Amino acid sequence: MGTNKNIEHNEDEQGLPVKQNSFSAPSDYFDTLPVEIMDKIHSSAKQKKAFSILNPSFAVTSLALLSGMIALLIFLKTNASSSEIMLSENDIEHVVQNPESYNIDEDAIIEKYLSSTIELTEDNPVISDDDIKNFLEESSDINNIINEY
Amino acid sequence: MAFICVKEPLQAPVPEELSDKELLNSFRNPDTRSYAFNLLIRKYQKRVYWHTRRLVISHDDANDVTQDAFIKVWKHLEGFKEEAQLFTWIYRIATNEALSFLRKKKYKFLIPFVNVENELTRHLIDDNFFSGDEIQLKLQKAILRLPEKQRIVFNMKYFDELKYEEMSSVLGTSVGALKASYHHAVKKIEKYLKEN
Repeated sequence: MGTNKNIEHNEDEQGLPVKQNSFSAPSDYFDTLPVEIMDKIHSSAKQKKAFSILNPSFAVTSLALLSGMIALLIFLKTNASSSEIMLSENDIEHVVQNPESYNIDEDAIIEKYLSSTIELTEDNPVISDDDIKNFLEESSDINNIINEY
Repeated sequence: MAFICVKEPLQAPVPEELSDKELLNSFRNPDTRSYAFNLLIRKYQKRVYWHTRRLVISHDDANDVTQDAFIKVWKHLEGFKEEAQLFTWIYRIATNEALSFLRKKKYKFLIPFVNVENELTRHLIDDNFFSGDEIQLKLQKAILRLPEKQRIVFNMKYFDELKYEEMSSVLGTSVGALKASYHHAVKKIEKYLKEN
């Protein structure tokens, strides 16, 4: 491999110098070149695999991340809207102006309501448990109680 | 990189090797794909390297171009339809890589094409891996003054000793046009050598 080869000239090449390869390469160049090329091919294939959108693990991770973000957005939005219902500006103002209205005593509510609907007689001087039970069974619309209160 | 140089013959003898058909069959088998491609590189690396070296002149540039060319061969070999010979197909890829390298160089440094040739000539003179005598240096300078297409045709015919039919397959040009191109190139080189 170490010698240059002179080649016959054809007619066209009469005026040209003797044909020879005047270039040279480092001594071990052609021994290492295939290894270098194969290394490049394999490393670029690995890189491509790692960052490919079609790579299943990449796709699953992306999907999980996306789902998480959507869930977080929905949660934040729901929280924001429910807090609006619970504490609007009017509510806050009302509570500040009438603090006593919000000291709700369940027993007082029931007693007040029943006393206005169940007549107390001599035979029935106190409200019995049955009265309360009957009342709750007959008219258990709690909204009425709250609105009335 | 060591500066111990090895001169290569124009057509390096290739050691015992598989035929293109065998290489392609091995390449298409996933288990032997890398091994087959390694053999393919070993079979064609010298022809590709010397071909690109004569076009881009510097060893480092030829090394880059050769590696890029083989990486492209790897990517597209699966779809190679065997309508052409494997080596003319590889030659075509290597030639295109070398030309696009030279064009990139031209745009990168914003230098006119004529000056790219001057730049290559300067590389030739400074190159530690150029070992030709004065007449060989003059020949290379004359080749670098040729238009791009004529330069490729001249190198392929004169140094690589391809047949016109093979060159036609590589360059996609008719045999008649290639013969004319080569004839003009030789005349221009002879004229340059006489005048300088």
